[in-house]
Amino acid sequence: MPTRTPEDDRIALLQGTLDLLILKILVLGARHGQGIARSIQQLSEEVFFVDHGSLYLALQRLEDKGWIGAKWGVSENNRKARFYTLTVKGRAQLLEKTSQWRRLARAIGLILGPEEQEG
Amino acid sequence: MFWRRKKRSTADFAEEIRSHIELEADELKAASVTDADARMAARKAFGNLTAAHERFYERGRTVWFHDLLQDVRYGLRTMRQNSGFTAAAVLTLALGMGANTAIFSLIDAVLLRSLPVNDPASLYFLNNAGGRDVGGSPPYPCFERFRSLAKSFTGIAAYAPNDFGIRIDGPIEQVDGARVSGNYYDVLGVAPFAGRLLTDRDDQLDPPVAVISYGFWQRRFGGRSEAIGATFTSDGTLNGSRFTIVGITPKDFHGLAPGQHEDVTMPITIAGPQLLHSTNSWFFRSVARIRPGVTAAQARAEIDPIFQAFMNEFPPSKDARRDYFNHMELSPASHGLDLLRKRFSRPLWALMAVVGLVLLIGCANITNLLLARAATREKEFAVRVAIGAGRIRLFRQVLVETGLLFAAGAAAGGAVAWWAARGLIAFFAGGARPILLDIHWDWRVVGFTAALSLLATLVFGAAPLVRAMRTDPHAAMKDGGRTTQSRIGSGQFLVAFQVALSMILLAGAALFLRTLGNLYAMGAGFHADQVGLILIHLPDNTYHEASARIALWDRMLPAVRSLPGVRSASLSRMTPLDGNGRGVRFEAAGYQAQSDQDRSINLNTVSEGYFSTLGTPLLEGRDFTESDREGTPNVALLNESARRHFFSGRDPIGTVVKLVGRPLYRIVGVVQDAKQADLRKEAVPFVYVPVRQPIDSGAWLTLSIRTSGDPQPLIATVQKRLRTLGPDIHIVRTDTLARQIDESLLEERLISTLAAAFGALALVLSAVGLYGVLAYSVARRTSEIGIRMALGAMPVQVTWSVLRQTLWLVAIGLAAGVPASMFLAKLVENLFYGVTPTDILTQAVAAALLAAVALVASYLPARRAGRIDPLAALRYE
Repeated sequence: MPTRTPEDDRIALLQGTLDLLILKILVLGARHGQGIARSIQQLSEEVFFVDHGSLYLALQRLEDKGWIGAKWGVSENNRKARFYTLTVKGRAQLLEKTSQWRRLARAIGLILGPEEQEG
Repeated sequence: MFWRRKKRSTADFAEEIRSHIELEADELKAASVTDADARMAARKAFGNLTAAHERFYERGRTVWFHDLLQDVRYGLRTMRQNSGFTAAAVLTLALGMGANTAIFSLIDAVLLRSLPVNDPASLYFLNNAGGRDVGGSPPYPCFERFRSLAKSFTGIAAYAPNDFGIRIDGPIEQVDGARVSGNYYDVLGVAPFAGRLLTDRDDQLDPPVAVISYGFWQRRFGGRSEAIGATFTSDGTLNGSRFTIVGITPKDFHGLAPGQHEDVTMPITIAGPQLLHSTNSWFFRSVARIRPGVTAAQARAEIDPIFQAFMNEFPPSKDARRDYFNHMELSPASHGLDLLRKRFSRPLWALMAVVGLVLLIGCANITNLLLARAATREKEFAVRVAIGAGRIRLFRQVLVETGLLFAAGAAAGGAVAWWAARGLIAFFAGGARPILLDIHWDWRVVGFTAALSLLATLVFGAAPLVRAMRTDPHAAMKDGGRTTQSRIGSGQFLVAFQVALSMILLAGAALFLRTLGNLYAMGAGFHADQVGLILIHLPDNTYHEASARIALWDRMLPAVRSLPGVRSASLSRMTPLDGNGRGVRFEAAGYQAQSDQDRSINLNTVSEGYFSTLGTPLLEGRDFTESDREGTPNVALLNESARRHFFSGRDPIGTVVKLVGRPLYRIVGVVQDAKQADLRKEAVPFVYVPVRQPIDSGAWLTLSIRTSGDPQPLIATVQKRLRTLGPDIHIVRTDTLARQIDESLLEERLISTLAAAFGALALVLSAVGLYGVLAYSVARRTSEIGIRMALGAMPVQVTWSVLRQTLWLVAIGLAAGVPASMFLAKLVENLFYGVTPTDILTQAVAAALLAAVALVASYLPARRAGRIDPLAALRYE
């Protein structure tokens, strides 16, 4: 059982979206795992909760696919860390996944209707 | 990606996770928390660290395969640790599987394997058939009509197995072979190993050519290439013209008669124009390849009218037409001639059933052992379940362990089978006329063993598997690993099952042994011991005139009789159970035959002293003498059956009878019946004529020598003496009468020897099984027995309670086994002789033997139970 506090109003990530977020974060430049997790949380205004175990697994998966590269380096506060960067292939994937996601979100939005009616 | 990226190590991943935690802690510290708290919080934020590591580890691996390897390693370790258990189980399986594989490879060789020819399934024998029998091919002129008229076949070939006396250089040698039509190899689709095979043109015999087998080429010519082009003469063929060897057949092709190796094959036209033009001679087989798309029924419908027209044109007797030449039949030729299959199919399937039962008994033992071991490992499983092992994973592990055990058993069984199969081949090839089997270890035999092993694993490994699945950590831990009664129950059931199976095997073995004993002990009408046999052929080229042959036989008998150690010697065309037969028509005044069958009598040509040499008593009249020869009146002897059949008790002495419609013979005596063709069958009517007044050519006679000691060494001396009597005396083979009888009882000896061996094995396995179950149950009940004894039970009572358990198991086993053995024996009733499947004595002896062995096996654990020291037992608890 992952340790997750139920009173949290953070939302667990949808299946498959973590890859997209990681790629998006890495467009901004090389980051280590903890930095990526932190960025996802901050950029989503603390809405998203990232299971760190899943994050590292996802990173490994993307690395295996060749969408991101990894290199050991030193963090700003002099800690040894593994830094991830986007590859050319990853950049192309990001574009594709982004447009896919937008189409999906729009479609779902159409079905759910305008926000006011949500009560 | 077409190169393999080097896999990232788990250590590297762990390093990254560590750095994550530190980075996280750094951030929290910046938010002014204490060092320790920050680390803790960072850890907490990460979630399940172990799970993350595990998931990384499992990523990209074929996890099940990895686990399997782990299971195999663990299984092998367990096997090594329990070496006693492993050895017992593997040995049991090796014997069981080995016996099964050996018998199966024998069945494969004798019954199942197709001829090594092209598309064997489309080959058929074309046989004439009637109410009484299915025969061979119709006469040669009819065969030629099939060839020219029938459209259903792509080819029809003639084939006649034969043995020949050939002379390559030096003395005449006896070889097995065949006479075939020129298209024979073409129809079969056999390609030459070297040189060429026969063709239609070779039927012209201009020049005469022959083909030899690979084996003969190796044996006789040492595999030298000069063999092709070598020449030989074949006795009595083409006035001694030389045949040229033109080719060698493939290594695995031995002809169409399984069990025989046809070494020399010649054109069928050497049979001579008389035989080939004869409209009433049946001497060969027709083998045909059916055209694709034509069914056997269609082909039969096409050739039957041709056959009917032929038979109407050249009619045999009414009886013969009805009994043998009524219509045509097509029988599959994919397995060759069925002589060997007819003889051995029932005995072999019976043996397969026997070894199957032995394997069952062995497997029951192993199940018991596995169950006992599973009980002792209950705690181990309970602990593993408690710390999170999946039940499927446990199940798989037990499956792997059991599978390993059975695989090891199968592998060891392969070695046993190899050794056993060699013994079986030798058993078949033992006589003077060996049956040569080619046991192949191809995918079928290996597949059979593998399937057997897999099946046994699943069936007999199932009980321990189910136990592993049921493991309940709470109960097992609380219980301290004690078993409940129900588990011993399944073991006991298996023991009763084993007793029942053993009973079937023992009763079967006893029935077969008694059959063999009865066949040997019965009055066959002759005494087989101390008789040597030498089959002599006087070649036609040297001894063309009948007078020359008789002169030689005249010289031979006194010469042999004068040798030291020879008590008597005689000549005869046939000897008992040599497989020969010769039926002729018998006509006597005052006898009205009802049918052809009725007037036929068996003919043997014998010299004076034949009956005394074999020990067949003369009942009335006189034996032949040396002066019963040309120029004196023809005389003949009858046997008892002939007297009964043709004279219905009247005195036949002095009656003149006609044989084969030819010369008249006067009956001068009657001898006792002696078995000729089959020990199991009643004696048949026989007439005997003197060698010096023969009806047949008299070029082939067997010299029988009764000796005062072992005939075997004397045979060589006699052979040496024979060769000095004249040129070109061809000694075809030597044997002893006792061995000849053994050979005729090959099926019976095979089945009774193996049934007895397997019966003994079953008995041992059951005894071991019983011992194991009782010893285990006594060990488990130590504390219970201790309490009982503390409460006043006497050691004798305790011992008796264990023995009583045995008696119950044996009683249950026998209650099932006795009827089952009677039922099964009933199915193979005609394999027995002089004993019925329900024979009470046999069943009683088998049951008593089984009960005695069971009691001996259970005595040790029973005594141990009686000697349990209550104090020690309770303290142990």
